[in-house]
Amino acid sequence: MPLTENDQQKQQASKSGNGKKKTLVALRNAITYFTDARSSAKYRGNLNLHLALENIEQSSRSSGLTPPHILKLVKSITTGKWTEIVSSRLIRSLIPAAHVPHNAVVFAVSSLSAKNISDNMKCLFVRWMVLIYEYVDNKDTLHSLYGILFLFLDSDILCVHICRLLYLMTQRGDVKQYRVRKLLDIQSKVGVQPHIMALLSVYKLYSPNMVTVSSRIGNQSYFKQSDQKWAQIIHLVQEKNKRLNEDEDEAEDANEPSSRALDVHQPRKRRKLDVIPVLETIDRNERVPQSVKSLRKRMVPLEQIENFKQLLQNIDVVVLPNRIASILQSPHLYHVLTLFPDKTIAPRLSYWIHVSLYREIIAYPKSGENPKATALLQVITDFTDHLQESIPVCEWFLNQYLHTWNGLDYRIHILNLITRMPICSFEKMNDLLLEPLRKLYFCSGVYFKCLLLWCFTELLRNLMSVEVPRHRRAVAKQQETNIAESTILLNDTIFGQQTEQISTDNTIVEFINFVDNICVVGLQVEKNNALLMSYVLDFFHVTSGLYSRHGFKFLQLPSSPIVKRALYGNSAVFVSKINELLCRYSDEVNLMKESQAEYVDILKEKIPIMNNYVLCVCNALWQSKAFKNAKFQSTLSAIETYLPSSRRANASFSVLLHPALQMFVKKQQELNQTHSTPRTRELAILNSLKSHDLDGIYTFATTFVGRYARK
Amino acid sequence: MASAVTPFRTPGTTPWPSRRHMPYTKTPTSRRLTCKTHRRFPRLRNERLQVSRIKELVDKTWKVYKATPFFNFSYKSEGLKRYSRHLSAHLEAESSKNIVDVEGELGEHGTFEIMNGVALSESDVEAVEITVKTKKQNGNEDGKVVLIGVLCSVEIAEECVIKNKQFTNLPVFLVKGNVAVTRHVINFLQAQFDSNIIAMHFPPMELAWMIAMWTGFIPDAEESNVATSRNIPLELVYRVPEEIEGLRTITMTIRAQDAKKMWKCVHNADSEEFTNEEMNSFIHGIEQHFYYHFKIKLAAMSLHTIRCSIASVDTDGRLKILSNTSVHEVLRHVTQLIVDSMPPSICVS
Repeated sequence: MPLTENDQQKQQASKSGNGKKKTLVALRNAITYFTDARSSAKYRGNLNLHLALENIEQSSRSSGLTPPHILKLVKSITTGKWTEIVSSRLIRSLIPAAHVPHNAVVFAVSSLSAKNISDNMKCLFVRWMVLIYEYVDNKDTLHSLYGILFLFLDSDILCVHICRLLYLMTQRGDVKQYRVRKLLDIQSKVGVQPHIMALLSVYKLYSPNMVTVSSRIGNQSYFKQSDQKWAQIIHLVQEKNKRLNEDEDEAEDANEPSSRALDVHQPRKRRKLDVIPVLETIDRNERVPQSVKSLRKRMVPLEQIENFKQLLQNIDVVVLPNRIASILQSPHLYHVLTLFPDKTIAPRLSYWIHVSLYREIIAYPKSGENPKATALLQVITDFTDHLQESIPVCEWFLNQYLHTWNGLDYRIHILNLITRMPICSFEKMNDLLLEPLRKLYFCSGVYFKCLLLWCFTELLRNLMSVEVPRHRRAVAKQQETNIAESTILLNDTIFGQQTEQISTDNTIVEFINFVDNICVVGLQVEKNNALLMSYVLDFFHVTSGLYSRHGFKFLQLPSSPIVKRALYGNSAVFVSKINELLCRYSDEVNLMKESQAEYVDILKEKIPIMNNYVLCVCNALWQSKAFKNAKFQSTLSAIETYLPSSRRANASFSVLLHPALQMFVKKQQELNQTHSTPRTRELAILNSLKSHDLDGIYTFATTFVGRYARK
Repeated sequence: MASAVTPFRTPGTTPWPSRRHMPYTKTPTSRRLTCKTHRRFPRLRNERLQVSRIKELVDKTWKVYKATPFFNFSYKSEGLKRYSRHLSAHLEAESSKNIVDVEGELGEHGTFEIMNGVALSESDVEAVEITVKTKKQNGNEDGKVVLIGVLCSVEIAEECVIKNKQFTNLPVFLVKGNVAVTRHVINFLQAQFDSNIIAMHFPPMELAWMIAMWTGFIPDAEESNVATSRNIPLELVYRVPEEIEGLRTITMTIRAQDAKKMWKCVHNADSEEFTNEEMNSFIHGIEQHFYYHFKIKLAAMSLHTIRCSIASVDTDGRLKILSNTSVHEVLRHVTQLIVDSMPPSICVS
């Protein structure tokens, strides 16, 4: 009887379980070999020893050793019973599964002064301690050995590694005058050595008054990277075990924020390349009366905060850093900024942004992009995203920069910033923003045209959903307080922008017209490029929701070249999209009609255009009268004379014959020959299009074409 | 002749090598020549010159930096003392970096002082002088001066005055000193007062403005007595495009009195403003003259340095004031330029 899948799995599981048990038993046996006083220490020809050693090495490398095992092995090594090769292999396999028991380390330290252990082993022990220092479970016990370890500095062999260990262990209380003197003594004996400098530099960090020697050795690092492989193995084992543990108690950890939520403490090298200043808080007023001091004690400088949780707990007592711009280092710190009522923050930040942009972009002496500037622009974009408002200094910068922009440097960042521009009068917008972009649009390739259209779409979306409502609120507030001023202060912004009294509707209308115009010309120049058409239709998709989604009291239709280029083009996607777009517009009109009479004027103007478009689509797709319009009579007769075969030119854009839809039509006809009447064929094609996600045509048909109208 | 315009830009190329020399702000149609305050109180002017330490600014080659307003700067003497102490500590910390085994002998100490007489109008705040000296070597003699920096603002435009008392606007930062120390001092100021200090570059257009305006301050031949005025001719150094080999710069020198004569023909004597047209015709006149003799069009090259008996300036932002009497005018113009390059409406309520 064949095994079912379930059975197989069970068997495998039991096998692996058995395997685990087996290895555990083997490991225990191997360790007992080393702890047992009776076992032989002979290295050559001792099969048991070799097997035990290999076993320990294997299992420690794969999953690490438990604390009791480590303790047992260390004890065994320190007896000095084993030969050097065996001991060194054992020490190298002392890889902790999770942590190292502190008494194992104490044993190891005690071995340093033992006579029966060779210097090489001692050295290896210290190296091991350096590597596992961070995994020791009780560091205090280890730390109490600081004085003893310090004595081993005299040993020439151990000195380097002891220095490194002490470098890790040193605390403020350990810095003593006699120790400094001792170190200087050694230094005078052996010359300036990086490891001693390292220790001195730590001492200097804790008490600069005791160490007058400068502890810099240039860019060189203090310690050579030794034992990298060993460290890597230890690290890998730790990671692996941690992952296993995490899987087990994932639910518990879910609520813990990561310890480095605020990534503000960066390595020095990265800081050097960074544009954003380092976070530091210097006490501005040194002499403060005692009473004030006690109050201030509770204040927490930002650099002491390590994670988001702490930030939340201390949000009311946080002290702002000296350079306000350093807050831009971490997105979590943005919150600090928005919560502080201090009015000086915005100008300080503005000055910094202005100068940084100038320095990194305009004053950058080489041509091409500056990596720092890219980083800076990214930060500014993120920051504006967080604030949901544009920064006036950035606008000012953009207005200047765009006039000389080549459309290439920092392209995506610049476009991103443009999408976040605030609303202003169209004249201003045209002069400062649209004119330079228009120039670039017409002298660049199709890809840049598409990018620019995407940018305009996003800009329009932002204007409609964020900027205009903000402007409206500000106007309403001003009307409440009855202040008749030409400028409006936008209250709910950090940067407290002022704008002039403008008709936002006018700006939006003009802006859409502008984009419409460049779209028409762009499509002409690029010969109906599919990518460009897609972006054009996306833009109008956004404009079609002006009234229903954003409460604007007007309607902006795409101009007729765009509609016709999409309709008579040879891509089914665009035919479908334009159909869908017209349906959306018709919904919009219906909504406006229903709601109030105040839109009569707008509707009077727009409905004929709208009807014209709908008629156009109906004639072409459904009525086989594509050239019915008097305008096209001459074209029609021309076609018919030159191409006698196309006698049915009028029907050439009907659903059954439209070049863009041919693919679907043919397929459909092959599939079922049964549809004899054109009506049933049409219906079948409609369903086929719908199944290909081209439901624009279907929706249009059910909305406007009588015979398919939804009942 | 212009080459045919290609419809698409080739990636990675720009028609200009660097943006930093481009005039990024709109040049005004006219600029003020003299200081308002001097016009209003002409008698005070000489007194002021006698008393003030303004002479110390003359005959030194300064590097011009622009500084954004200082946050929480205090003019009280204890404040200045504290800054001096902090600056010294900062310099000591910085100088002990990179040098092994030096026991604090190279330490420098800095002082902050108010420099009287540089500020002119009511909108200006007093200038601040920063001096960095090496520590006294043998007790008696003073240390060597490593750096002098002057933060000042001269007749800053009314609309640029920041009303918030927490900000102190000293846009012009003149520095003369060691490069490393300059960097440390700038870092210190940036960290201490949350200001941002960057090197100022003068575009060729601005240099043309300066030379055209300042020619007017050159004393006339009959006025000048030998003692006060030095006979420094007008000098314009043009940088030749890199394609031309064997020639880096073209220097054009004009006798000061000839230039003054020409200036008088160009400028409307009644007006205190110097207009764009006047500037253009002055520079154009000089370039025409050169073309007449050498058949070289200077207008096609970029102006790099200008020098006259008032001051000498170059595009990299080096400034040397040469005339005792025109310090205020020169600094006023530099202040104006820096303020113009700042965004107009960082509003501080």
